[in-house]
Amino acid sequence: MRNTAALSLACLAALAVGCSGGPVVRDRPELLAKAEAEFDAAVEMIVGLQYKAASAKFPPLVHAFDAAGRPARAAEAGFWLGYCHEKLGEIDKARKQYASVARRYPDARAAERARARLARLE
Amino acid sequence: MSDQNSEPSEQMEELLRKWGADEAAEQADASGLPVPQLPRRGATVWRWLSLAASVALFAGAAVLFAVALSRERGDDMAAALNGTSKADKETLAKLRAEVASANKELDDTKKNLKKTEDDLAALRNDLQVAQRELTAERARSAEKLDALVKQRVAEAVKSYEAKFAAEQAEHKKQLAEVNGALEVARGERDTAAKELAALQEDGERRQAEAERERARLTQLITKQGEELAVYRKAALPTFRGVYLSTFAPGRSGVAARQEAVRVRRLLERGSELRPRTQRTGDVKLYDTLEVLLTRLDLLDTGDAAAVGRFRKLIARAAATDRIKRAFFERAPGPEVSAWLMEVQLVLSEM
Repeated sequence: MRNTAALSLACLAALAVGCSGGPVVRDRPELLAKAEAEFDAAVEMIVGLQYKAASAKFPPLVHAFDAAGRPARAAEAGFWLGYCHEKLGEIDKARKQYASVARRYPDARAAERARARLARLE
Repeated sequence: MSDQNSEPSEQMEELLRKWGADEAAEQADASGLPVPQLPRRGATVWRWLSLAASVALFAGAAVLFAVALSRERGDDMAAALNGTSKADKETLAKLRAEVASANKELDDTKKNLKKTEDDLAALRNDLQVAQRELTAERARSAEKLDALVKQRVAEAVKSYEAKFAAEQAEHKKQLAEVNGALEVARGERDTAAKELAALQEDGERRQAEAERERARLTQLITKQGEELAVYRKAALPTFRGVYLSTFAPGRSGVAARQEAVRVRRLLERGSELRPRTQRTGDVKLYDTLEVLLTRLDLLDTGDAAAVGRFRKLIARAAATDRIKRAFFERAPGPEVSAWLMEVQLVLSEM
């Protein structure tokens, strides 16, 4: 069930990027709600320390929230992806992800968190 | 004359054949008779001596025979033979002397033989005597040896018996000592058993007392816990209100809690405390609380739906219950306790 949802989110993200912007998702609130639900499920996985499974869910969510014009949510999804890499011991991936979040969403609260964790990893 | 000369010549020749060429030649030289030359025979001295003795005997007999024959033939022949008979007589006398000498030597030899036989018999006798003495000596030696062996065996047996008796006495002594030690050990064992029984009885008594005390304390703790729960139920909201109004003035609800997380630097303090944690359960609790606090820090408090989903997340994580267990089970240090208390205030009763 979750795999199917992730696949649909990936298709959604690809479609959103392919259509140069977010009108498609933005105009369809049910898709945004579905993305939020997927996001909550992924965070709950992190609470349950299931980092590997959770890390697979965040990349399409980043694209989905970007396409939906929700940069704060996209930044948060990107932050949690870096967090999963860090907990899995994939430090290089974590650094890159935190740096990407800080660069792409400099004003987001998640970017501030990403910078703090990046500083701890340096 | 020729017949008279030929008979003695033949006799002499016969004699020469039998008794030897040397003696015959010597006799012929002495008598002046013509003697045919016979080849010389080599022989040992002893052989010649025995032959000489035989020749002397036969020569004597021949002379006696010739004398008797000449007496029968008359005076002419005796006159003719007068010159040779004198020589024969001398020869015969010489031969007789030699025969006598040979007989004497024979007698001497017989005497010597007899003496030798006597000596041999004496030697045999001596040998038999020696054998008897040897046999007797052997018997005496055997008896001595037997006596010696018996004596040695008796001495050895006596020594062994003495040694055995000494060892047996030593063993008896050791056995007595062991028995004594065993008796002491049995006594100690009995004493220890009594002490153990007493200790066991005392332990059971103390255990019963401990059980009663535990029941009493459990009852007391339960009562105090109930009182504490009532107190906390009444005091915690008040304390939370004071806490939030202090660190998030002018805010309320989730926004006040979010502000408290940021002002009180709960995330940073948790990150500093986590490396000091050793227990796996505590590490998991830190990680869970870190995720929840981060989620609260990033939460859009103006989005009611997002706030609602966050409350559900807090409820499912049962964070406050886990914090309570950490307090009661592990009695953390003051720094950790303060952090856990603040996190509990922020995340509970949302």
